[in-house]
Amino acid sequence: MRILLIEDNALNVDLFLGMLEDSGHEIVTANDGRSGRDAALSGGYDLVICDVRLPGLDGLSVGRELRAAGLTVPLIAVSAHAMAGDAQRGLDAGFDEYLTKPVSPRDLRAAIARVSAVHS
Amino acid sequence: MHALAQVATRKEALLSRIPRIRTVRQKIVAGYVASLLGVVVVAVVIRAETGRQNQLVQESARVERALLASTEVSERLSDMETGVRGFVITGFDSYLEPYLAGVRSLPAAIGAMRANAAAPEQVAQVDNIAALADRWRADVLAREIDARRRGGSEAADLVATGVGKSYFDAIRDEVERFEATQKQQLDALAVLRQRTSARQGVELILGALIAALTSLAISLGVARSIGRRARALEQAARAVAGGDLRQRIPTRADGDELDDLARSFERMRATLDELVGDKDRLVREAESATQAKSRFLASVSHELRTPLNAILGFSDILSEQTAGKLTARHERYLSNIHGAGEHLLTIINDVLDLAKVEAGRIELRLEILDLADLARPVVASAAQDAASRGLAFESHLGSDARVRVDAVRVRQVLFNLLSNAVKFTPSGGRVELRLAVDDGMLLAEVSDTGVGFPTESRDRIFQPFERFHEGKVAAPGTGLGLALTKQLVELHRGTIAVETELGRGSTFRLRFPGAAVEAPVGERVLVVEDETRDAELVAAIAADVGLASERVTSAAEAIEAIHRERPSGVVLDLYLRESHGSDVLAAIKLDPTTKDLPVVVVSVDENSERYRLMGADFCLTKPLNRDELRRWLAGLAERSATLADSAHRR
Repeated sequence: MRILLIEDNALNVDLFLGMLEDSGHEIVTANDGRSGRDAALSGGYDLVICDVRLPGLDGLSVGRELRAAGLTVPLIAVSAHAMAGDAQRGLDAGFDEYLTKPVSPRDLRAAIARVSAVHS
Repeated sequence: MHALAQVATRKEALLSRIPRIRTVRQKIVAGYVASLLGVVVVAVVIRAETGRQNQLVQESARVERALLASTEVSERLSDMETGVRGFVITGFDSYLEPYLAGVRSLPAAIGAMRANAAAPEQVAQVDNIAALADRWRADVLAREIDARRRGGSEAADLVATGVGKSYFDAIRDEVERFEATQKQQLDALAVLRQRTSARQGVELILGALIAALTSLAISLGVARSIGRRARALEQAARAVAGGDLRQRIPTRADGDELDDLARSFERMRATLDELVGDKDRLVREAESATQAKSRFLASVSHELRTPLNAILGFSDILSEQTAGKLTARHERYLSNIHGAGEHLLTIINDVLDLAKVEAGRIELRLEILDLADLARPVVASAAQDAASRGLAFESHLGSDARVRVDAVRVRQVLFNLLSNAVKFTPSGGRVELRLAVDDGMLLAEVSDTGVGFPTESRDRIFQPFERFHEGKVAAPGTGLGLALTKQLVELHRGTIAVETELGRGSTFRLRFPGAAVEAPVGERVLVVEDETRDAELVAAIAADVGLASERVTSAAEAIEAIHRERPSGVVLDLYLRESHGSDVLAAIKLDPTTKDLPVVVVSVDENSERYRLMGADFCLTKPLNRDELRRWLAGLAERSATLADSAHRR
């Protein structure tokens, strides 16, 4: 799969790459909300993984704008926020999954499998 | 000006000498005194009149006596005349008796006349009569007697002169005049008496009326004054009771007890207002403090998760990517890193949960499920955990019962207790989980044959950060687990207790009252209707399709019945006498445990869309469409029969 990762923290990027590269996916990274959104809109991705906290445009807004623009690609949100209601807000913003950090490789792979199944 | 001031001062001085009427009792007493005075005045007046009346009576009596005396005098004179005449004719002394008797008693009679004569003229009249009588006696009667004694015709000649007769006539005239005067007097007195009597009657009635009216007026006045102020106070009290502390109560200084009461009440209201203001302020402060604390916790937990994410994530990846390529020692190191990270995560989650519970921010999301479903994930992980440490694990689930709990939280609690049990039991021991439903309660027991802890510390272990066996056991705890567990249990209004003995093990017992769901889905339809005829109609149709029914007549009874035993559906009349059916509908649909309860709404207007949006199946209007209702009830019957079947089969 061609995956777009929208994440500003280098450590987290490294983490995601570590978790996903071995599965043969191609990962493209964007470091802030706006460039991530634009990249997603330019198309060609099978999955977008987006951190909720981003400089500039935040993750939930990216999700809303992508859905508003008619993008149907699976969206997964990742966040350190684990308060009640956060997950629902993510889903309301258009994301298909809302994962809370820390995300284990297993959880990430399971989430990807789930959204791919739904969208195929 | 000086003179005016003086007058004013004198008036003040005078008024201040009058005792001030302040208290209610004084007012009432004053009122009575006033009416008493009225009565006294009337009595005095009546007394005077009666005196006057008596006077008239006495005067009349006097006149009567005068008349009596005058009659007596006439008779005496007559006697005298008769006596002398008889003597003159017969010459016998015996015939002189009347004359002598008359002469003897005449003065007394005259005296009586004189005594009872009312006026000097009348006395003069009497004197006149007396003088005439005397002269008549001396000049006429006595000479006639002497003449007869001497013999011959001298006496007869004297009589023939007629002087005697003229004297007698004159006297009689005088007497008659006297009597006329007296009779006149008598008449006048009678008239006066009558008038006085009439006037007395009027005065009596008037006086009584005035006294009564004064008394009434004063009583009513006092009553009204009291009543008015009491009502004003009651209204003010009602406003305060209703939460309106802003309205000031008008008060009057130096009034009676009611005014004092009003003043005290006003002071009380002012104090309450202040206190409520304080309370509101304190509540706001507390709320903002709690919110600040929550925000702090949220941001701290967020900050902590980010590097934690890196720790856990990278050690995970490393494990995966170096599988089989590391020495056992290095693999252990990696595992330690990951374990420490997980530990840290657990602490963060527990701290957040504990803070949320304390801030009252955790809401239970109740659902109905059976014991097996509740226990399954917990049992699975505990079994695995126990096996990996060489412990025996047994789970015993009681009857095939259903419970209403927040499954996530209860599992969290059981998980915590089980992992503790496993942690603190050395290899070869055993851990047991029991779940049962009894007497409406969910009972859970987690027991182990582990190290236990001192019995005296039974209560302390539920405190945050209390620890035992530090260093004696391989895996450390967070110190928060039991504190959080207790809070979560108590959030369900349950209790947790522990039996333990150092070296023998521990048993934790939990009770969740009211968590048990009484029976599988009920087979009766609940009819909420206060018109008996309509209720009977619905019950009859229900019976027709083989469905039992229960009838309630108010919103409160409906809600109680639904929670007591879940019906298969609800027929809800919106227009109940003392409540509105839509309250019941809202209560049913907002409660997660009952929101799938089928409800049919009966109303008298065509507002069906609104109720459908609220969750009702559909809306019926009166008069009820029997076919529609019957179809719906039949559906209910079918559904509940199917569910009962499958419950039995399980």
